[in-house]
Amino acid sequence: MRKTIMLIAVALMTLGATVLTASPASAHGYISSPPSRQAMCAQGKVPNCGDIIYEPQSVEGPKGQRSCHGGVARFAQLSDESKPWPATSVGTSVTFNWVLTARHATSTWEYYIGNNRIALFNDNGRQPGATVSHNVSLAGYSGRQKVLAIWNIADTAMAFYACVDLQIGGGNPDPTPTPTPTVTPTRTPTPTPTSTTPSGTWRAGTAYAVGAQVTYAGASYRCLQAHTSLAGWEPPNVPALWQRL
Amino acid sequence: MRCLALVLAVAGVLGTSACGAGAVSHRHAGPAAGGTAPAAGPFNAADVMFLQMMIPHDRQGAELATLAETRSARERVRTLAAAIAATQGDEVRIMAGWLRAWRQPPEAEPHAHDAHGGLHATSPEEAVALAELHGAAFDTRFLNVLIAHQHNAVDMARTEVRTGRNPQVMELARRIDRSRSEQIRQMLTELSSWGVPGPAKGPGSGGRP
Repeated sequence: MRKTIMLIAVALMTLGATVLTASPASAHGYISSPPSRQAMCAQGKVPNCGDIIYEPQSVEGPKGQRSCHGGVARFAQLSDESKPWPATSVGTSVTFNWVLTARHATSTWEYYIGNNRIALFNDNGRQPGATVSHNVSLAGYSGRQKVLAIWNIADTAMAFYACVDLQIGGGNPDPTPTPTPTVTPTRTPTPTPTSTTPSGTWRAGTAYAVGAQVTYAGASYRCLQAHTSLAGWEPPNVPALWQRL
Repeated sequence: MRCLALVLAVAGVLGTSACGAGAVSHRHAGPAAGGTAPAAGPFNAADVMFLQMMIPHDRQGAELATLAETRSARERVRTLAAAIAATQGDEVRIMAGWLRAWRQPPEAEPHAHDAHGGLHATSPEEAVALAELHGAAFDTRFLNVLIAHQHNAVDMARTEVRTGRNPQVMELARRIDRSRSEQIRQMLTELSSWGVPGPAKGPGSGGRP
């Protein structure tokens, strides 16, 4: 029995078992800025995105597809053109920034507008750095355009897909109801918390300054360090931020 | 099956074999769940592994976040980073205390997690690379790296919620899932609020305070 166990254990380690960390939502990458559709969803700027809001990095499908959701059925909302995707205003070139949660060896990065491949970066199987940025020329394009970005993994048959809606060369993005071309954060914290007025009951999404006082679950707390509150940072859970009175 | 699960977990945690080690974890198991003592109640190898992985992950995130204090040009970024560093420091103290109380090593043996974590970890060189940047260049790279780092914390936390056993550790994991997800949302919002400077537009477009 013991020998069997040893064998199993050794086999697992040899195989590089991802058994334990492998979640269905495991890691990979997407474009954070200008925000890709999944980044818009993760920020809550587009309604009813489905599962993608929890795992914008997971749009992984077989190579060779040309859709925003990479053929992954549960992310089909990303290809729904009836959704109000905000477009980001850019000039005649743009820098795409990727968030990479797993640094897979990479064959190529491709960018398409319609059927035209507007840029190709060949990494020749290298492992990328912690982040990746590509400057891409948009010469010849104007108005609202949808860029499809594809990250082709070197050692698997898979690729990661991200669509970025752009408004090229100024003008109003159309047909989105979004306020301005430069996407305005909807729940941005106030830059500098100015008020030290006691703020009543603790709430998420509030900018608290040092000295602010709140109540939470019947107890009173004083803010020790300026921050914008968020779910998971309730006063009793974060003694670095809140002192119980 | 239960034995196999333990072997899986132990192989991941300690890089060693045998159900014996898993059984050690269970020696402390008891009906005392719900007590107020730190991490009271039973725990399993997945709880131990989560803590052993989350402690260095949190520490590294806090180190990255600390870089923003002197390098970021944006007060919102500095404020968020400082709060992340402080709260993760709290978490590390709590998690290390649990492992001590369970008489488990504070960290797994070196490289024990390489098989499933190597691709995902933020490399130590990244902090060095970030430390050389300032202003807008720092902010863009910093947020993209920290977003990825926190996505990975969410993945680890969800694995713990699925496979762990100790109620307090699982509650911490749920809180980590919530807080990191919200931080990611704030950071993505921050990134997209800067506009996208391109050569044709000039860097002025990113000039929000």
